[in-house]
Amino acid sequence: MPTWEEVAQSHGRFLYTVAYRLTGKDDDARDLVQEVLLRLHRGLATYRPGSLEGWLSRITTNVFLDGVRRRQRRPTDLLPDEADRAERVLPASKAAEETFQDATLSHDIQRALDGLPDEFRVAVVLCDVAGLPYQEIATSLGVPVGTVRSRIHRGRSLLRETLAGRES
Amino acid sequence: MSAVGEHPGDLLSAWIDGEVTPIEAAGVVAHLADCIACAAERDRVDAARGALRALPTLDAPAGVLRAAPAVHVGDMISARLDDEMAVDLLPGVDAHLAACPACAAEHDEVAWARTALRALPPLDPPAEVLRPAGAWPAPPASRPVRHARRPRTRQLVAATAAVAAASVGVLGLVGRPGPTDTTRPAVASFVAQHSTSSPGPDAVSGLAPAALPISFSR
Repeated sequence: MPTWEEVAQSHGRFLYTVAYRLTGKDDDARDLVQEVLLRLHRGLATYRPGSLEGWLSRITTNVFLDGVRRRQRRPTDLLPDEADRAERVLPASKAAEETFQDATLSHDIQRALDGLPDEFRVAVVLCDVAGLPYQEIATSLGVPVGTVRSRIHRGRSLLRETLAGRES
Repeated sequence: MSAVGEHPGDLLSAWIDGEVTPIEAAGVVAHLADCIACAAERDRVDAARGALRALPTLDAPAGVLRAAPAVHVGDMISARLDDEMAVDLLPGVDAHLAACPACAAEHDEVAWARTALRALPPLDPPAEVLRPAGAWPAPPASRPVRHARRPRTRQLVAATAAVAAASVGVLGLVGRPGPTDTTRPAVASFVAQHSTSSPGPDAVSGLAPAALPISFSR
């Protein structure tokens, strides 16, 4: 069984990437990763050999969806002006910004991802960013495989619609 | 039907269509010879049957025959791209994609989005996000977990700074060298040990309980 440090070091990039693709903001991604690592720290003993990335993705997804549900219960948690200020004062991490500097398409894709309904975005990110098979995504989300298939397809279709006009 | 007195009912249409056994046919014929009501029913059914069969065949509009089958493959396009489709469905989906321009176009669009998503670069996490295990509080299993309302990074940095500042102050009083790694022991256990006065001397400093509790709350 890997230690906490080993998991953080070997999968930190994976975790942060998935978290950033889900949340679209560096600050939120950091919080998400740290919450995941906290849960990991507490629950590593319960990990059974298998797909570690699947397990991490499941935790990440659950934490993300918990946050979504909390925001839905507290719609005024972040007021629009606060959101604007957060964007100005707390820009994306340097690493993320540098990566995106010469990659307008990546930036646009991320913005398009942000615009997807949560359930579509989660399915697409777990499939195309985390690289999980449909069955594992279905298990993570607690929905049938057919639902996963539909969400992935609709998510990709919406993404393409949003990015219409881009070079094919 | 064994007796002439029983009406043939549904058997009448079957008899007209020649879909009864010889024994059933003999019974129907015998019954119709004696039953005026059933004979009239036979005439009505026969007339309706003849009218339906006389309906002309229709020429299909040319566009309909050129169009693909009405059932499009939909989300099976993504499943096919992801190699997540049942093998027995594959030929049908491929045949549909070859025949249906709309689904073929949708396939190309979705494939573009899939490729674009998968080409997104991995992102390096900020260094402080991946903290060593010692920096994390390890709450006891019985204590409910509280979710931070503010970004956890700032909370932990503030907590660590407060603990570090406090530890420097406390250790400075007794002239002991301060720990080089301010993240050990774990923040939670350090705070638990030092945030309030206790009946006995402090485990680390050996000092008697302070007159006022030390608070690390913000």
